[in-house]
Amino acid sequence: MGVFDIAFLVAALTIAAPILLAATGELISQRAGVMNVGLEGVLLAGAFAGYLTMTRVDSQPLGFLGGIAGGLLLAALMAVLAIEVKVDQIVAGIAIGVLGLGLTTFFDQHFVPEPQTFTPLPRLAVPLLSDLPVVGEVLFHQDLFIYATIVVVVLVGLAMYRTTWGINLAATGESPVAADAAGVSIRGVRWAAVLVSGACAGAAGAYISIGDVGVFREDMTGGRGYLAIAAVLFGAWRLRGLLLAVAIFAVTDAIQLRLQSIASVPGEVWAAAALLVLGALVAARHRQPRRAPKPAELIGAVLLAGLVALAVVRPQLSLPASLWLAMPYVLALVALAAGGAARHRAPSGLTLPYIRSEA
Amino acid sequence: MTTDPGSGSALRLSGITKRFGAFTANDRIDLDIAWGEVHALLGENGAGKTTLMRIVTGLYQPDEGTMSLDGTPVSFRRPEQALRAGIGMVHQHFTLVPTLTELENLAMAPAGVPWRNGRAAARRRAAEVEAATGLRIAPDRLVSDASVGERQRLEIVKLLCRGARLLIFDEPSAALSPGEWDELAKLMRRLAAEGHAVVLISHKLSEVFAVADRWTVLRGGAVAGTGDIAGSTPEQLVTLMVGESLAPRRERAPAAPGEPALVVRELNVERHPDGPQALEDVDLDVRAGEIVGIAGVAGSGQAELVETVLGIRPALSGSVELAGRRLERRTPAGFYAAGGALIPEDRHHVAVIGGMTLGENINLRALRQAPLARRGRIDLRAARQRAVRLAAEYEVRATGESQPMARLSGGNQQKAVLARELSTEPLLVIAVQPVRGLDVRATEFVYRRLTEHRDRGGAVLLISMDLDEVIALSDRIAVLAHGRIRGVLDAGEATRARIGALMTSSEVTA
Amino acid sequence: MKALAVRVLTQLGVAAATLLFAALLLLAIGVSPGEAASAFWSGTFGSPTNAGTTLTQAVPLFLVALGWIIADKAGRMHVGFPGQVVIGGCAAAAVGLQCDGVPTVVAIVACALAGIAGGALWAGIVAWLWASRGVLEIISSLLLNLVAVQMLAWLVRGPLQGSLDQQPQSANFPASALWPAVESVPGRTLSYDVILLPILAAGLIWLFSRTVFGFELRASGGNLDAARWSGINPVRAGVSAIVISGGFAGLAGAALLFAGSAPWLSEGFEAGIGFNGIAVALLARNSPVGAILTAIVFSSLNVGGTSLQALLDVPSSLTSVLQGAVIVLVLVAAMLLRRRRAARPAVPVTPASTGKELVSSAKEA
Repeated sequence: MGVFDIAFLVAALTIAAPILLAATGELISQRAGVMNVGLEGVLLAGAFAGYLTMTRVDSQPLGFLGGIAGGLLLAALMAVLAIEVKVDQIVAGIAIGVLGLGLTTFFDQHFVPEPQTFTPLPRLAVPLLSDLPVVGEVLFHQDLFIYATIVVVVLVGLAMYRTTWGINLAATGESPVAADAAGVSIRGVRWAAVLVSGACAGAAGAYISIGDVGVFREDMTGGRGYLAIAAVLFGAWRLRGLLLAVAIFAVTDAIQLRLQSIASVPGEVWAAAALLVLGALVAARHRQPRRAPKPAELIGAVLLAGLVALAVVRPQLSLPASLWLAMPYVLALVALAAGGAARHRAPSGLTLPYIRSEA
Repeated sequence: MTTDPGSGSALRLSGITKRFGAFTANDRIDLDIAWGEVHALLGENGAGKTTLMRIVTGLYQPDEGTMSLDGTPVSFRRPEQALRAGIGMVHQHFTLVPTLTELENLAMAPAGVPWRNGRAAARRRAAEVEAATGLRIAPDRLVSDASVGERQRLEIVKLLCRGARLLIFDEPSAALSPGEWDELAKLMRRLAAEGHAVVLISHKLSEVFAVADRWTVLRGGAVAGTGDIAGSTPEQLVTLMVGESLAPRRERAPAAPGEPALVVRELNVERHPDGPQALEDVDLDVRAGEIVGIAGVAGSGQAELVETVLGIRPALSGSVELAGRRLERRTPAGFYAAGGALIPEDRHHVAVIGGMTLGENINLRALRQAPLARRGRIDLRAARQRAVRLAAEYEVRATGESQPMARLSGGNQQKAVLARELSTEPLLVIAVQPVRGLDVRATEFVYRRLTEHRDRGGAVLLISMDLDEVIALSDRIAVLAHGRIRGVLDAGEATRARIGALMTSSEVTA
Repeated sequence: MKALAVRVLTQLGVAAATLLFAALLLLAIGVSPGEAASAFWSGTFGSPTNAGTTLTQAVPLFLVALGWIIADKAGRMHVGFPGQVVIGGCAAAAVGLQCDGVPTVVAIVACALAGIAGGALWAGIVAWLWASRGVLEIISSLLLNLVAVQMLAWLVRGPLQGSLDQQPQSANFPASALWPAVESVPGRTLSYDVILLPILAAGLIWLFSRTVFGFELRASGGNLDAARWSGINPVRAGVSAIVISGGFAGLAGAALLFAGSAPWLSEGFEAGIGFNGIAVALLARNSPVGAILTAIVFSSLNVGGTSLQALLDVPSSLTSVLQGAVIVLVLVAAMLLRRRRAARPAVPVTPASTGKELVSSAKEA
């Protein structure tokens, strides 16, 4: 399988899990009408709080609880600013981002002057299932956090689409006036949503520091928070879209990691990229089959031809690591630009503070 | 709840007073509503109807006074408490979530435990309500796909599902076609007959006399009178509402139509890619020196017509000619340059910039060209003088031209918009619901200015959902229904009945 | 007059609260606030050399703040300044490295223009994505920041790498490209580019109040739909605002390199200027003149933070904590002020219109 072996899939899953958890939390928060642009800061707070707990008690469960607490703390600040004081959510988010970075770095320099390293989360094999070929290794031989993330996402899916709470959540973000008239507490739902998103981001951050790598470094989340927000937007505020977006981001990131160590770009990467472009083109055609191709599609077709050529010729080509490191962000941008129409499905109450007398 | 519904007093207010700062919105109001009656609450805009109903439904708390329901004193701190006690309100702006289905809108409620799913229970209750009242909904349809009448029905079902026994309707006919209104009137009578109490807020006397048993008139925040419909006359209620008998309609000089100002030919405009068109083959002429009114219920295509002429909405086909010049690439800038002016309906969102000053709002269009601006630079002193002069001329009450627009009252904002649009000496003024939310004095002012504009040889296109307004002001009336012009009447031959007939005839053919 | 007094008082209140917060943080890590204050003062304004550094470092912050102000006035709240500073700096460096032997004036103008062009170009992507693809400018600008950082990392390792010991940084800029400094200040730490502070502040005020373009920007930012309905093209206004603000940020990048202490391009040269510049603008409540003052305050925080670390071993990230805290405090103060005003309406506005007003003014903040 060359580049795309089992280790690759495992790496992709490990990368995907924290982004997915943080993005799921952000999705809930945005469905309730609160956009936390400072998600990156919340992730960092979780990462550092988890790490700090570990340096004091050296227990992973407590470490994760500490991470969740750290995330909740910053999320609570966001909730106070956005829901109680009703300041502009974007500016409040910037403040949360700056504070998250500043506070974690400050406390890290002060409280943990000597970096410490911990063992990452152990991998647990699910009995029987883990013996399946490929699938067993990838899906059923993972650490607890990944299992927990899957459970949380399933629960969130059920809550959003199968419960009254999910209806209230959608109503709060879409038409707070209507939800208020039905007796739903806008403040309550929004606080709950923001805190849930804080807990999710906190746990995801803790996984990035103590669960996956075992250390904390300044600004170690490296833009995952922004990717999570991009995933929510690209996924058009639906859980399914969000899963797809996170999958794409994680796979690119995993390719990037893998290619850093290889001198020349292997042919199957070109083939995979070609498949991705082809998929996107087919999806675009599928939505509106009978119409003239748009310029974007023509560009896509040219790109596809180029990639196919590269996959066939397999030139000795090496690209700088920075290009691959930037790839997930570029891809997120392309995805947002291509999904331009999706913005119409944004909750109409997003980023708007609710003031009752408007009713 | 020990009292038997169907007789006796349902809701009794005594001495309700509500102040906002120095302004008294409700002044010692006494009101008595009985089970089994339709009670009409009348009053001009700003008479205090809305505030009073917000107190009854728990949105506001009164400063003084008491409320009792079935003889038991009650006080509501939150709307859900009023709802639980059985008081529900059908708002003018529906409180529905368009992206959810009708069933989900019914199921929306405070959830005790997170994993509860209220969908099945809501479906059951909807079936019960249908059995009791005959009101049927389409549970799995998205609210955004429902018509205005269907949404209103859902709103009523929602309240009944939640056990509302006292229903308040806030100007329910504003968005309904005559046929839909008849159905609603029948429903109100049926609800009253079953022992519910119905409060109808309206300023249309014809509706009040068609359904209500009793009436109460508010004026200036206080009760001006109350009584039975039987034995009352419309003139009596009008006198109570306005405070003095209305001067008979001014005799206006007959219109002297001149050159065509606005010519619209075979205009087709799309609403949704696969739905019915918003406008279909619309032909329209407005001549200099006349007021042409467009009559029609809300959502008949008025908004699309305005936006297309202005150049914000693309047309599928057709042409728009202004002052004899065909507007090829239609943009708002082109519309204004050709001599157009617009008083939009949605003042807050598209007409004023709340964060800028009164002066900047008055000069919003004039500031960007000579003589106020030359080569991109603004002559601030001239701009200020112009703003001060226009503010005085149009009786805008403000502390100065530098007062932020958002701090002006609605009437003064509208006067400022009027000043901005009429001061450019346009050939054509499009006025959409120009007096919505204004008090009697401001309304009179707007009507006078529009008429003067006509008398000076300008053209006015008046678009309003209020039939009486259209009839009172227009020289010719075009009836718009379901995106088509169904007929054009001269002022002399236009009556409510004829216009109503034109609106409904369309329903048969559509 | 009274309004101004309230504003100044609020500003002072925010400053006091920030100082209190700083003192608490210092106490928490066992440093005496008094000692810290004296170390801070000597590091920032204690000597002409240090004062020169503080003033010079205020310039990039101020430029970014102007960028934020112009974009925010037009209602386009993008946060792409770090990326635009980086790309502007890269473009300026690429030009500057070629300027050996070119007359100083030409070199300076060329570098500044390259910086402006680089920043504007990078902001142009945000503007294009917003205008034609409807992508929220805040998200696209955040992502582009991350891309810009990778671009810089590649440039200093690849095409622009020029240090002799193979460090990821460029060669030293030729002396002719460096921006001149005041001779009489020891160490020549005061660059002449501080004259940009009053000039640009005045220019921006003039633009907003006296030009049609500035008026259209403010109208579009105040109410996009109303602007469109009255014949203004708000998309054009928004795009110009974003691009101009990117130009300011790009110029800040050039200033960082050619008037800074290290005359070469390296990975960390942006040093958080992009986000801090936003805080500078917020603290100044979007007033260009106020931004001069707050930029100096922030730059003294940066400079003083370094000396605190050197003298008292206080983590230098204290600065960024304080900067985050300042944004939060400013937001809360502004909102509390507005509440107070809204609580006593001058005219009997209906409660509904008060609500609308709160929402729309919250958008401006």
